[in-house]
Amino acid sequence: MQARNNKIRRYVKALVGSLAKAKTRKEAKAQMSNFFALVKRRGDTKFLQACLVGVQNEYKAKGKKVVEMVSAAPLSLTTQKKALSILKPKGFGAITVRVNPQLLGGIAIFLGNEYLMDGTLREKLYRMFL
Amino acid sequence: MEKDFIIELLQKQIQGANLKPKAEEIGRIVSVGDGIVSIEGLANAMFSEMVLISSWPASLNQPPVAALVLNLQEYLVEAVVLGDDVKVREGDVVKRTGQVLSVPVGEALLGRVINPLGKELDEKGKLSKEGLSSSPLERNAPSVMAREPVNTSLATGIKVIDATCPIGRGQRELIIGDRQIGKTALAQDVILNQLNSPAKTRPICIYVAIGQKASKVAKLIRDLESRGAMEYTVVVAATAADSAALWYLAPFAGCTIGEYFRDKGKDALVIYDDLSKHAWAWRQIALLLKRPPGREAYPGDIFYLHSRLLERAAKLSKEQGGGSLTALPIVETQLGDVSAYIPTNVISITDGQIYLEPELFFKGQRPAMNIGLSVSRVGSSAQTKAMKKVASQLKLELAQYQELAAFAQFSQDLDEATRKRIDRGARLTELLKQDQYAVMPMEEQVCSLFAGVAGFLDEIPVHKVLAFEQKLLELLRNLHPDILEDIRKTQDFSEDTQKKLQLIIEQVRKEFI
Repeated sequence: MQARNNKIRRYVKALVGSLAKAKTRKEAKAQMSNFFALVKRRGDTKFLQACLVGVQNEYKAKGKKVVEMVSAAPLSLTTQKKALSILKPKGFGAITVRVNPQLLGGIAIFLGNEYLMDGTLREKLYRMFL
Repeated sequence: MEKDFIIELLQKQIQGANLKPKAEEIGRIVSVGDGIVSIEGLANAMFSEMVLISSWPASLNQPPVAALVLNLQEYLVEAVVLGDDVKVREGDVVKRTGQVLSVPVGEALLGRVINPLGKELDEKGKLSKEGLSSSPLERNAPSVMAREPVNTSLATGIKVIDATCPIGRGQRELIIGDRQIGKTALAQDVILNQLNSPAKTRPICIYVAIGQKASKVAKLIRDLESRGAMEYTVVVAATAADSAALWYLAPFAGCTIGEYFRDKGKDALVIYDDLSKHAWAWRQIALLLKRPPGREAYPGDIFYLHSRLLERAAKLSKEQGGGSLTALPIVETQLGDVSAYIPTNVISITDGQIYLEPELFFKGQRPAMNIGLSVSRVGSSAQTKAMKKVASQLKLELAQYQELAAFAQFSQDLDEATRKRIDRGARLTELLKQDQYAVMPMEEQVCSLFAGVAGFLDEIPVHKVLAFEQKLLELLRNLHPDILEDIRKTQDFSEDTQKKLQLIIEQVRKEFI
């Protein structure tokens, strides 16, 4: 499973890297054809779907890490914009917002898949009583 | 009133807690199975670091599950779960602790039964934090200059071992043999015999059960408790029902607990029962981590697994406190094959081995120790002067007897000298038999073996030798304790004491001829 995921990651990284160097639409198309031929030659056509989804996600994030904000109640647009203005200079890109009433209150921020800042009430209660 | 009380309680709880939001480095589980989790993220995770897995948001009903990081790859970190992996799900959050795996150590562990993570398994309540500190499971062995040669005896209470294959404090002596041959019984008797040592110099005993049946461990604990040996013993149990991760960690936990006492200048004894199962556990984990298998599917570092464990058993120099950690690893062979992979590995690491043979066992020679194949590389440096005086003669007699043993069936056709040698050897062999739990202090062993090597048993029928020994020791304990006291205090066997003992032996011998 992890070998499969690693392979897909490398394909996505390679394709995004080569598409970034394409100056025209024609060049980009040629790069894509080369990519399909490469994948077919290596016998990895079964990964093609996952690779294209990966490329889509990379472009959404535009090479930057995604921030996920989870709150107990819906966040206002002002709060979201303020968060983005703080995080953007630090290299973080798009913000996704989620509501989870189980958090009871407060907000938790996932910075990519690497850091978590948990200021929710649920986490505070957990720390108090564990 | 009640409301106010509850509010007051909560306020106290809140005041003490640090509730500021903190940024924690996390990862996410991408796959879980067979006790191994693959984690995405945790870019700064260290090898052997403890991480905590929990669902997010966390639930008080589901405390975090600990895992040990063992593989650091390009995009993934792989860890072995130290608890129940059934509760771990894909997408769960993994948090770093920044610490390597540790176990509680201290005097408060004496008399307790714990698992390799330090969790209590007996029903004697939570471990008191006051008498405990924390120590990492993996530690460096003492350096060359921090050690000194082994020079003090570790009395096992078993005649055949103390006389022919003596163990010293700080030595590693392997106990090797087939299944159901008496390996654990031997180890248990060594623990029991420490009751005969004065409390000041008594070594702390740590018994590590790796993959053993829970019923067997329970019986051992009961036996130790009923004889008062649990007071100075710690049991670390990773039974057959536990995961391979706990089997893998158990010996390291036991060693760390023993090192605490060693570093305090005390003596400790750790028994690993058994390292064959420890090797199986590491093989299982390594295969699941997709490490390349070598001979018999063991990973390439299987030797290092045991060498780094056993090197931590040492006799420290006086500058380092003078403490010692003695190791008695046990290895199970299949059909007596000591040339198999794991047995040869451990034999080359240890300072000698006690080889238990099935043939001797079924002939009734118990402990079934093959004196020819057993060795202690420390040798007589670990023996008292008293024991040296009787043991050297004993080994010579037994060696000669073993050479001539094949002729025993033709004893009527042999010359007088050969026949006498065979008769003497048969009686000495009979004298070396010893029941389980019937451990003998050094002074009694010296008296008993003296009777044998000095030829006082030559006219006693072989089947009456043990009865003679019993009678002799009863007489010494009840009517002549001064002889035993003298040997115990001086650790020597003077001419005067020998003469006194000879008279008593003559007196008892008459009843058995």
